[in-house]
Amino acid sequence: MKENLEILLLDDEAIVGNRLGPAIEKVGYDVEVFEDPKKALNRINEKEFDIVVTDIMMGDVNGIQILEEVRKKSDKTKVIIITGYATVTLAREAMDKGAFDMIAKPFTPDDLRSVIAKAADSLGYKKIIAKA
Amino acid sequence: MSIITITAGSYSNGRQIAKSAAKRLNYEYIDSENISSLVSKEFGVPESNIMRALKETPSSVGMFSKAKPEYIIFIETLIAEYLLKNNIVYYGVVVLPLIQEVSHVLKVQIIADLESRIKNRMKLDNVSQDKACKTLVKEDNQQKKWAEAVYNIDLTDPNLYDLVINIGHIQDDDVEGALETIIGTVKHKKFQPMTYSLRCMKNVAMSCRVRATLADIDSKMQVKSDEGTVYTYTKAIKKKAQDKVLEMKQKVMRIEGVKHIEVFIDYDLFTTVAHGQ
Repeated sequence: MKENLEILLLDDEAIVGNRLGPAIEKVGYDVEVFEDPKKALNRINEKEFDIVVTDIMMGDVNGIQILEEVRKKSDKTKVIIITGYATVTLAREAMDKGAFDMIAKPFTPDDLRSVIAKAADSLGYKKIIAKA
Repeated sequence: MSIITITAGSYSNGRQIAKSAAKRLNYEYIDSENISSLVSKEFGVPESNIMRALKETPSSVGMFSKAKPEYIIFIETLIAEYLLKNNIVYYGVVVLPLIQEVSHVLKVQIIADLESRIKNRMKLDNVSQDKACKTLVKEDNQQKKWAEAVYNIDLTDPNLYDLVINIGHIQDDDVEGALETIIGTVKHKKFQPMTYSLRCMKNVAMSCRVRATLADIDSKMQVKSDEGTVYTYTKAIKKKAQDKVLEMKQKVMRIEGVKHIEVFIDYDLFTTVAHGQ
């Protein structure tokens, strides 16, 4: 097993990546931050991440498409949906298509770290701490 | 880790299906009636009055009625807080419209034809066909009026449910089939709790608790909650608004988990004019 969890974080709003990226790195994860979903998809096709954190509403490619692409490539990768447009329909669709979890915006970095810690736990990374 | 809500007309075997589903899934079973003793104990209201509030329509709810509207708020509060535990089958209508956005709640309606329900009632209560028919029609109308008055909903609206099961003539096979459909559906991944849906459920429970706390001030107050921030919408006359806001804030800030409260006042023009302000 790798020493560090490898996480891809995708949100088309730069401020989200700028804030969450360092907050995740702070607890010892390796994070690659993307604003462009197409570039993120290319990276997902190149590399198997442990966790993909993705927004839903993004220009050309939406988060559900990212989820579907990740699922096609890997059963292992955990996908966490972050969205400002959470609804019961979206939540069920995401879970149905294999998302690990979904968080509604706004949320704190601690909220995301806590969900990542759960995903890490389910991947067998037992020693990762949720809080910085 | 999910929740199932089941609603049904009387003598449609809904309660039996709900209890059986709970047993098979090893979930806890609750209904509005068995929670009424807890409501009575916590809010100091006679249990008989709580039971009446579950049946009587608001046309009979008034100053001198024993079924005051705040009793429904009390019941909603305890049921919503109970549902936070998950792994529960809840039989009843109270709270149903408030948890529509909670994705890990499977909402089921059981329907059966009137003829079968009449036969079911005749057998179980040993009454004539005529009496069974009259009382069932009366109860259906009563439940319809209650839901319209309390929640402004039509209980036959399929949009309220994820699953509507017609058990037709209520044979044992139909009941078993309904049970298997419910159990099979709730195991689906889309009904599993997630951070978003758990937060929705917490927000509903918090809003209910705030409404219960403020019910003596305004039982028609609207409340929304999000992660400990509470938004309340109420009416007041201008002269008393400041005192009302202060009283509300003091009461709500004592509730565990509340971090902040915003009070929005709609000045009651009629009462303000009546008071000559």
